[in-house]
Amino acid sequence: MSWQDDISALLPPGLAWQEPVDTLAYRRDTSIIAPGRPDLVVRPLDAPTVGRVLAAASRLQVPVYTRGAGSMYAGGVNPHAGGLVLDLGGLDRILDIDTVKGVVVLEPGVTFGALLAALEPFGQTIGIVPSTGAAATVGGAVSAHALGTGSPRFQSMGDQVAGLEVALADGSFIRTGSAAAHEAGFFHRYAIGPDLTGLFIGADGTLGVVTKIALWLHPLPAHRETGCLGFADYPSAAAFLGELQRKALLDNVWYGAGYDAIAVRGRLLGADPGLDPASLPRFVLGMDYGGEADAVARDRARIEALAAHYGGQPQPRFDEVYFHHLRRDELYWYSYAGYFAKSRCAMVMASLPTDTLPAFLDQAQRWRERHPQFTWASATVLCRRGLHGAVLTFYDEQSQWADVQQVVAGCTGELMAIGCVPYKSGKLWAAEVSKLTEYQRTLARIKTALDPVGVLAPGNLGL
Amino acid sequence: MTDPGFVRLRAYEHALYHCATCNYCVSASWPERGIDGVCATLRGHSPAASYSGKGYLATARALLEGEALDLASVAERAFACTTCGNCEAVCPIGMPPAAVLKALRAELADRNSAPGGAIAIRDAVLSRQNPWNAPAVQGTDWSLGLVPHPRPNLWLLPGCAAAHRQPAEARAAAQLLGVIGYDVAWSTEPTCCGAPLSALGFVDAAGTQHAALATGTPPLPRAVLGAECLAELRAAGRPATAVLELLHAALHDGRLEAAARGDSPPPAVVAVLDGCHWSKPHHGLADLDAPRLLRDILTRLGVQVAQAPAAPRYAVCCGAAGGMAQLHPASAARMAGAHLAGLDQVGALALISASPLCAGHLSVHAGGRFPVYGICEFIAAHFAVAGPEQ
Repeated sequence: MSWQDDISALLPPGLAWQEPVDTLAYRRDTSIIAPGRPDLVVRPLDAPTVGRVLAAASRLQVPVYTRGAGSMYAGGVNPHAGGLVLDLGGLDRILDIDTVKGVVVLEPGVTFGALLAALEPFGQTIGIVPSTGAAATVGGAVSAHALGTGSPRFQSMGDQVAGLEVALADGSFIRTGSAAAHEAGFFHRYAIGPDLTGLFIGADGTLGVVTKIALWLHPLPAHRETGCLGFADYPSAAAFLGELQRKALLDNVWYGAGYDAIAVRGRLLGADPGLDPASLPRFVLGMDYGGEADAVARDRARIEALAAHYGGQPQPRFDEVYFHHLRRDELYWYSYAGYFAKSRCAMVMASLPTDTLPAFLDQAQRWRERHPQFTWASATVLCRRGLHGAVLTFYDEQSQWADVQQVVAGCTGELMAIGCVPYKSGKLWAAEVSKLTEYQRTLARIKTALDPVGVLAPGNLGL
Repeated sequence: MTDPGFVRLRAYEHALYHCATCNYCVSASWPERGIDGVCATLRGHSPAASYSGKGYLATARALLEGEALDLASVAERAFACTTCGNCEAVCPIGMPPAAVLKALRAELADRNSAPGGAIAIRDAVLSRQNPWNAPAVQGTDWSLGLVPHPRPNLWLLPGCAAAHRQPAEARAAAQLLGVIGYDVAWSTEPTCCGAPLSALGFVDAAGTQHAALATGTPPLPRAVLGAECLAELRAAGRPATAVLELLHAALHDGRLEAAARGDSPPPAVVAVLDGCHWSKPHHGLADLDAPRLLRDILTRLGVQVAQAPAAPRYAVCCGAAGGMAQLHPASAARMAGAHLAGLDQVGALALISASPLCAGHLSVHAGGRFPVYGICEFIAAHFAVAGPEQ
């Protein structure tokens, strides 16, 4: 019997696939990272089966790449070493909505869309929802450390996790946070000793496979509205954003997105061709406010007053022609469809200190000038602290595949050089992560302890 | 016929390299847009992504890139799709996975690689004018006792789904059109428009049916019951009108009056199954807005429509179409069962559809436990009707 047959026998019939036609759709994610070729795809329906599959994979020394929806941008699910793809889409149950403890416990294959639909009757929601949320799985977002709507209030996905259940490479399970004491269940992340939860967030499946997730619940905002602020230059915008964060004015802001000069011109001149380009702001911040109506009105007034100190002015026209459409009838559909509407899009995501915004946008402009064969864009997302920046490279996959891989690979190092930090690392940032010597050495030690055979997602995070 | 270049797939080459693999066609749930799941095949047949829109795009691209895939395996996946088009409706960037699937089926059919079950359907349509291999003569049983008008101004094409699976719907349609004031006639020879063949990728055979229909039908305005038939005729450049449209217009302008029958009162609350061919843009009938027409008709009849969990445009398929019911009957039964199970939850006492194919399929699986009606059949069963001359 082959190892594929050995592992397939652990699954119920019809949930393991070896034929090439069945593995095609599991070769890659949305990124420009080259596809891999899995030898086997399995779709367990429960956590114990995940444990048995991992134990067998370790015994047989078969690489394991865990996958949710596969909608990430960094190649973390691409099975470069072949082996096994563990499709967690079948673990899709919401196990407990506990409005007393303020926690929802779910399996990793639950999509954000399904979770939000289930929480809505309780008047509850969760903190972070990525822009691919209709199909993206919560497990994928935890493993890759996603961001999205909610970042101004809640920073990122990892900050919203109250605890995890994780299958380790030997097939054993651990629970983190308060749930490590099984009778207590999930209600406190930092209950016992060091934060083991954090070990698995953003680990891209290299240290274990998340089989249960507890997220904090938050009340659904009673009122939402959008508004935009324009700034004459990037330094003024960065100074304003930093002050906004320091003054803690973001409790009623669910999303904040920054648009550079080219995006601002494109949107405004597209709507009103007669406008004088010189009169347009070079940076616009779109804000999606959410909360009690009076609190939103109060905070919005404070934010606009603060912006005025930095020359910022309300931009109702930008809101009217563009920004408010992004969330017209959706809570989480901000960007994804727009990015991929006309072509494929390579995305390099980074975290950056707020005062690095001008350098980040200038760098994006330099790439635009240096590689005119591509269309470029940048996007920034406001967080509670710092920013997330994305460099977007629009390309034709049929004719520019090799070129875009080479160009984008060069971007990561240049972003590090101006103070950016890898975000959603996967394989896209692996080379840069490997250069962080002490960090990488410690990570490798942890990896050896938890996955001694090295079967979990080889290649991710440079491991 | 051989086609080493996969020219039918090559027509979609740009899309195959554009797909962002976002997984919406696999598992989207988007409450604000009324999306509550996507793919009936993944739910009712196999959860492997090779059976999804994304899988079909990946398969088509691999074939174009020369990857040596086993065509029998490809065919098993490609012919396990209901062709509902929900994957296409939910795609956030407008990819055409349902159209690619049809092209993939056609490529396989061209290479004699279609499954035996699909070939049997093709042969049944060509010889017996229906995909169920029922005796051809049964295709006109619905009209027994009805007399076609000798000088008709409207030609009724009930379609083989109504003729064979919902004969009461075909019969009620002919009668209602007469009440409205049309001089209706129909073919006394069973005729299939070719829609089941197009759905399975037998393009040439479908063309044969188109030609036969053209020569066997007088040059009159045509009224069609089945959405599949209407879509097929439109695609073949032969315009026709939906019976649903005619009913809606007649109720609206007073040419048809309907009063609830005391001896057979209508159920107070019904559920509606729109039928993917009526409701999803991929099939080319979205301009009719059939879901609205059907609800308008029911509202005018004084019947309350229960709230469905998903918007018509994104409703998950009942398993009737695309050859699923014949090629994978157990899977199609699971899909039907999933629909029927949800009806109790919305308080419906009957299910109404403007699609004879869907209504016929669900009737079989409801097993008499839950009434399933075509819209004409529903009116005939529960309403006294009068037209301009009564």
